[in-house]
Amino acid sequence: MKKLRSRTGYGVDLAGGRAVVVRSAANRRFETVYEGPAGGMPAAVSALNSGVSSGRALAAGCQPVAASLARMVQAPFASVKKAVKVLPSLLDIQLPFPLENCMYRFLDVRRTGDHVRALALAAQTDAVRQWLQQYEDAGVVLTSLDHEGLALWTESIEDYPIEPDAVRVVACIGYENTVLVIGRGLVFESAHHCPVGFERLQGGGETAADDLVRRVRNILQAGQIIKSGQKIQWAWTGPGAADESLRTRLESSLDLATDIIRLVHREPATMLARALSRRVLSADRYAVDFIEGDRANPMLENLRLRRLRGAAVFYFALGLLLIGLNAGWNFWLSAKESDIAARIKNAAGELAPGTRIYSGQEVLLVARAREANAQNVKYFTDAFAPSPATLLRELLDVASSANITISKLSLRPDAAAVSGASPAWADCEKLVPVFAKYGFIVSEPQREDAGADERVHFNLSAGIANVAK
Amino acid sequence: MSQSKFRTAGLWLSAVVLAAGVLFSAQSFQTAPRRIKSISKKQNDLKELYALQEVALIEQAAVRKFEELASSHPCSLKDLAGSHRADIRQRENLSLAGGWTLHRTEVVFSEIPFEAAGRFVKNSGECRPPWRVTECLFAASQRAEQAGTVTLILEALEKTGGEK
Repeated sequence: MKKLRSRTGYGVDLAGGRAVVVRSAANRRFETVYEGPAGGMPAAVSALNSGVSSGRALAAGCQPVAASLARMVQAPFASVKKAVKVLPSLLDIQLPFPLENCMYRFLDVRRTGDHVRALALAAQTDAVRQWLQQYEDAGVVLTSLDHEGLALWTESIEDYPIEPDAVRVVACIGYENTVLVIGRGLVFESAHHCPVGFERLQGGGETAADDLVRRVRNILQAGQIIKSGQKIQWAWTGPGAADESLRTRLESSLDLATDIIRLVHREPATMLARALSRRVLSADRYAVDFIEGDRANPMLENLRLRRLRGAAVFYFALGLLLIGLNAGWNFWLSAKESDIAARIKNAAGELAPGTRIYSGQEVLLVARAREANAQNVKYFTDAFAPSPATLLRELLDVASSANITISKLSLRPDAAAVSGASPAWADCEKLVPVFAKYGFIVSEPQREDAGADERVHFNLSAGIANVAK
Repeated sequence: MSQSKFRTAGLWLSAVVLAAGVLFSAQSFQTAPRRIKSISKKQNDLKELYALQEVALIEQAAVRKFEELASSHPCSLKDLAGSHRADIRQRENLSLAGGWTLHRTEVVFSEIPFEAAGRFVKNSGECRPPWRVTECLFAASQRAEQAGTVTLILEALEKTGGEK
């Protein structure tokens, strides 16, 4: 099932009658909300529960290593798709209980050479129910049930980066149990549980410590973890890790070589809860959740349904909005088109009455109709155009005042010509502006041979320009 | 119907409405440029027609001016010529719409002072309906300065039919 997204994550670590609640934000900042007896956290729980029920927060608990199994399974196929189908059968062989009675997850499924490897996590269904019941009894509403070993591993890697070829042993001394998580580079390899916790170590003295050391040695020897030349990091965490004398005693008893790097995680007592609160907000290759499907939290299911309903309503509204906007847009375009078409029809009808106007050809048909009617109106409009009579009058006036003798003058709508004689060359040029005023373009006056009258004889011609004055 | 079926139906309905919205948007997006272009072309056509309407209004106003004239007959050119000897010849009569007729007349003055011909042209233009000179030819005589043969082509409109 797809992980719900939220900005606030709560991690709840319940162990040995004590509880730790850490709240993390999406920017990875965290805050310890509660640390104390499991029965005394109503305020922290009410904030957590209201956040979860309103969908503003997610809350994760964890299935302890003691009540689960982590195994590497390997399928003899190069195809991940094929391998995924046989992984449950391969896991079944390794389980001490029937596969049908447990919940299992396969993580980090990947091809290595000609086979496929996966990390299998399994827990008996009853153990998961029993553990969930503990959270319910504490009044906590969980949205996911993580795995203790993976949570410790990913947080340890987050706190102290590791070299790719180094082995790290994360030793978490809890109140009731001690958990060893072993990995190489960034890869989680195994998680182990020793039923000796901080309470026994504090109260039981050397016997408990010896018991723990013996069990740890067995685990390390079985896994052949500590080999010469191997880079090893030993990381302490859990409530017991804060006790420096205990750490020193255990390190001495375990006879850890001097070249083994020793680390202590910050705020070790709250590290598991912190890891859970961060992991519930992110999704990496080791993300896991044991409460899904029919075991899912009803509140979480309601939240999922509410979000689904919200999304459905949102997309329905978005769809309606798009339909509405497009319908509006198309209606507006159509209305505008119709309005313009109607105005064109009216204008064309007025301009060419009696002419059949086809849509889309209005301008052409109107132009043709007007062309056909041009003869009928031309003479009326011509009457109001500048008259050639005025030009003639002005030419005669200028000729008279400049003492120009006109021997020939012809005037037509598109051309004019004057020939005559003037006292000086400059005088005949006085006619040029008169022609220009009426839109004629005048060519350079031509001078002719002087006659016996000692006057300047000239020829002047003009053509019409585009725009008549 | 169970709650789950209701939920499924609701989801399907949302999906269908959203898909319809998206398809409608895609269709609008695809057709919008063509429709906008068509509207733009129509707007240009309308602008052209409005421009023609303005010209038509001017033409109508010109015709109306003629219709409003007190007299529908142009004045007599012979009378305007007065004492000057004029050879007046009707060259063409052109029937126009609305009961109007265009008269095109040639007037030839022999041995007339150009000044007097100019006055004739001016007076003929002041008649209502007016005579309009379309062509003229002044050719000076050998015997006198600023005088000679003047040939004029004049046009006038006359209401010969319809209402008046």
